[in-house]
Amino acid sequence: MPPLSAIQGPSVKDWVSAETITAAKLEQDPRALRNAVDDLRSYLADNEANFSDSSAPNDAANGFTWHDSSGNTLEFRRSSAWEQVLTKGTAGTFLMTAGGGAGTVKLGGTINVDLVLSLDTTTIPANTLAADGDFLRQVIFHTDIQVARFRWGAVPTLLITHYNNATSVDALMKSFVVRTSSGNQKWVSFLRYSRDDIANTSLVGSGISSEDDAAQLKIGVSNINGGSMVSFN
Amino acid sequence: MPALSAISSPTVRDWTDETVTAAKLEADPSALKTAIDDLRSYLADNEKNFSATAAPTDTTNGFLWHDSSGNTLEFRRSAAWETVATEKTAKDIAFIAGSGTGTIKLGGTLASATGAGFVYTTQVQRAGATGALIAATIPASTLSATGHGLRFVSWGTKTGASSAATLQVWWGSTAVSSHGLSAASTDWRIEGEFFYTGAAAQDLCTFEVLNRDDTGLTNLCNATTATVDTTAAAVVLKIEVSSVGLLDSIQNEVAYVEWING
Repeated sequence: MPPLSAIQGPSVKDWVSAETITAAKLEQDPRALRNAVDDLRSYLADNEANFSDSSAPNDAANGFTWHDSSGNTLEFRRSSAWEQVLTKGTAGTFLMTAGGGAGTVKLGGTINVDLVLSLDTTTIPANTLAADGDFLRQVIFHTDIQVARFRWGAVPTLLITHYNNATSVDALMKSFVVRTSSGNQKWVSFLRYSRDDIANTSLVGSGISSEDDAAQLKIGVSNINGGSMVSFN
Repeated sequence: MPALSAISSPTVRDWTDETVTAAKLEADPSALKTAIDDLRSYLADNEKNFSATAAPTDTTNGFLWHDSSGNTLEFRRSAAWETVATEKTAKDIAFIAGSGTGTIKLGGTLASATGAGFVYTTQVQRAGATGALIAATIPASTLSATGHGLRFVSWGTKTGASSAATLQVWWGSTAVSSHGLSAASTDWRIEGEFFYTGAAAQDLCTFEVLNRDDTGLTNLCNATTATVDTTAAAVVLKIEVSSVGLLDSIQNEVAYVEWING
């Protein structure tokens, strides 16, 4: 593809009166015009092709966008470099600059907010924990209960029971599950009560689990009467 | 620039048995030349407007424009230009929170320039000896403006019940917090947040949760300040065992660091 700036305006002949017509003269202008049209067609066709291609367009001016068909991302040309555009399907792999440094940030966010009483389990779609270090965070708040049980797994397994004392009235519970390798996770769960004066020994607990992260899983808690939020990072 | 729809297909002559004149000969090439020049003009203007300090004059919903003055990608929607989030600009974009007028700024798990995350899942053990459990090197200028912050979480276990122990949070060359573990405790979790408040100044708070807390510990939570220059060089954020009984051990199971875009 010639860059647009290399496509010249074609010159056409100015005929004069009584000039002898020859085949070469008659062919000259249509040929020049055809070449210019072909160059433009080539430019436009290549432009269209490079909109989605495994390699970047040759004609890369700032402001161009390009669908990288190998990485399946939308790229934007800025400051003479290709940078990924945040799109609905690609946000999970998007690296954002952290402050003014060389570090980056991986985006996360809320999966579910639930205010159902008593039993609260959030379904986690298969392959949500797709890479080592991916983790889920569950925040629970509740009142006036005796125990709170953290559960995780395809058939949610009871991992820890946080016991309360009778006089505690409010509680905040946080639970985390992080993928350590394919099919393996570490977890932690802790509870903060409004008061703790009976020597509880289950305020925080941690461990490992081996759930198949390629399958649908569930994270949840039983015996709550407040609400929950589950987020992914 | 003519609008693309205004560039007509050029008319060309069907020659018959007729007298050739200069005007007739010139008509077709001239029409073709006009069409080509219109196309070149359209494309050149299109390319120019792809990256320009001013918005394109031909603005239809769905157009993209590189605002070369702000160096952002703009998207035409609802007859207005809106900034598109790209790798280097996403942190500066205010996203709408719900349906209100409030906005949110993106943050998330911290990673290196190549995307290696600051998430640690390999167990680190200190058996009867002090030393670091986790040391995360935070790149220079990660905290470079007021509101930038870091959040870290670390959890693990304590084996053995011979003695109480102490975990410290180090920020640069200073131990900014110390949190005790009673001798009988078996599980612990530490969480903290650091916020840039000015050049070489941070507000921070760290707290711990133990599986049991029945020895009257008074250092479960610590709110303080630090004076580390976060812009000149990388800063190490460290969780360290500063005291542990010879017969006991402390393990870190998981830790991670998040960047807060305040």
